[in-house]
Amino acid sequence: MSEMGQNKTDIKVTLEGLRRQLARKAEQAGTIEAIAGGPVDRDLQLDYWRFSDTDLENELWSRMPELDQVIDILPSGFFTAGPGLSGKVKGRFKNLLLHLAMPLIRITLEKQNRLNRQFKHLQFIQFLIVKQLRQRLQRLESENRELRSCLDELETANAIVGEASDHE
Amino acid sequence: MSEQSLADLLAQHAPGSPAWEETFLILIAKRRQEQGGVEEYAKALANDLQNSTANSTRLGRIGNAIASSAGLRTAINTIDLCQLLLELRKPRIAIYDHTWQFIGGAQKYGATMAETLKDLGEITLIGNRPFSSEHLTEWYRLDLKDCATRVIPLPFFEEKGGDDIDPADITSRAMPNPFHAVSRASLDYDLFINNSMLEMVLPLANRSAFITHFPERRARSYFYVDRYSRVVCNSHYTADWIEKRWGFKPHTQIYPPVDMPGPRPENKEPIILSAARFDPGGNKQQLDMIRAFQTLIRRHPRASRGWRLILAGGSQGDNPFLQQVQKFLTDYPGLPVELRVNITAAELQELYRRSSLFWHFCGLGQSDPALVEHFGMTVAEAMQSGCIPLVFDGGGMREIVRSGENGYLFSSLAELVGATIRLFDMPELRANLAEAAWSAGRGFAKEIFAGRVRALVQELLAPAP
Repeated sequence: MSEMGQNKTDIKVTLEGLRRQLARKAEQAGTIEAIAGGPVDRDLQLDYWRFSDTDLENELWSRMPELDQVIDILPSGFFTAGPGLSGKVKGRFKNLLLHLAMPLIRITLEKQNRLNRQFKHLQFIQFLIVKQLRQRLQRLESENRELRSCLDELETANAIVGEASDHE
Repeated sequence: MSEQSLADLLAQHAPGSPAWEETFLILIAKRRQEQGGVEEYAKALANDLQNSTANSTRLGRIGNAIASSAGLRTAINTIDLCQLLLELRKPRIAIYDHTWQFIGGAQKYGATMAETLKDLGEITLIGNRPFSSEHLTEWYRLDLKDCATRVIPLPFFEEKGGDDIDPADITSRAMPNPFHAVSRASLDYDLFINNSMLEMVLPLANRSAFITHFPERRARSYFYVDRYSRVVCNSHYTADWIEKRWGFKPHTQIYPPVDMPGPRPENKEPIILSAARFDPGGNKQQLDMIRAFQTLIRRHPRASRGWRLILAGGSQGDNPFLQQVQKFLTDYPGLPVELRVNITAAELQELYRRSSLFWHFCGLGQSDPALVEHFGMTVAEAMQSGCIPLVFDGGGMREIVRSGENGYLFSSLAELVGATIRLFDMPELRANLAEAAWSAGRGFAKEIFAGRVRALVQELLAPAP
């Protein structure tokens, strides 16, 4: 093998080795963000005015579980400590404040939680009403189409009968 | 930092020298906050490797520096591109479709892409449920024997059971994205083509393309279509809806491959043909066709004498809609309507050759744009055999049929009946339109599709100048 050919083989082997090593790291990476090297998701702004009926309905259904996730606004867990000594001190201080203030803020937040749940129920009921109305409208439209089709056939039959009597 | 400045800075040092490496490492670290840079890194690395001897330790340091500053993806993409620049291997191309195991127009699009691209690289078909390239070969009459297959199971949907992998089940970002398993796999390829319309798959390959057959869902949780190098759509109708639903324009439009070329229209029989799947929801509206044909016969008994309607289409399992159609025909035994369910491609081609007219109702009376034909492959197939199309005036069919020139577009059953009767009555008009339809159908030939796909992929795989 020529020197150039040998070097090409060496490069190939070396690059493949490095790629395997990096691919192993990627396999072991816990999240997609760790592979991508940064956040991959973002909040998308949706223009609801341009949504069709079906899109709106789908959107509403998919938002319901999200609402469930955030409906309880009572703090869960504790503040985590930041890096270094000052971070630890700050974290502990925040947790102490939370602990002391909790009996007071719990009263207000629980009231808010009740309100959130009520609003969700109300929203759900309103949605079902709209859905039932839409279904009723679709039924009526379908009946209307069938009636029109019957009328069409009647008119045709009438015309045939008319033509036949003209011949006679 | 521009490519020129990176190349210039590195050019001050001899390839393979410690100074070259040190400069490169500094430049990589400076770019910490920036994404990308794959092209620049790969070109610099390839240039260095061409002019020095391979040193795994040095290369390892550079690879790890890129990984820690810009992420593992950038580092792997850099190595991949470097391998291609040095022509050490052929490009690895993956085509993903979570529905390879089903027969359909979208799947045919992807499989034909695979056949088209097989001499440009190593092709792997990725799915989520077991499938075989032999089936695809048989279903779509393609040569896919050199294509590898890879199945990536998605535990979320495996636990859920059932045939469907429905992205609508992922309702919010509070739920983990099961399609990240596919995203991870995409890192193994130089080009990742997503043919499945799953906008929840983040492409991690160096180059990627998203094929949109229709933007069925809104852009919301885990939406990554705009992260693909190219967004391709199958018709201008789909392109319009991409803009409406996703807020951006697709890069390219490539009509699906239509490969039912028939002979010049001759010896046509008095047959109206429909070729559409017997969709369990009745979306292809075969029942409405039968009713329209019934009306036509009743109204114009003399002109329609000798004509029959043949409904050809696929059906799977217990199909309530097909049962409904069969019951209707049992109720009207004298009606000249025939059903041809699950016939072979050769039988269908023979039907196209014999039939004079082609009816397609999909979209009539629909308010959901997804239920309007996005392109209409069977319409173009029929035209390739000289069947005159009479199709609903909407969706992608407006791009195939020029009303009055090579067929008719209708918006109501009255319009359809009028046009059909005109064609029944005028054999000369039928002959002219059949010839025009045959000629126009050739514009959607598989070769045209293949040419456009190859151009797209060659452009994607070519390093930036």
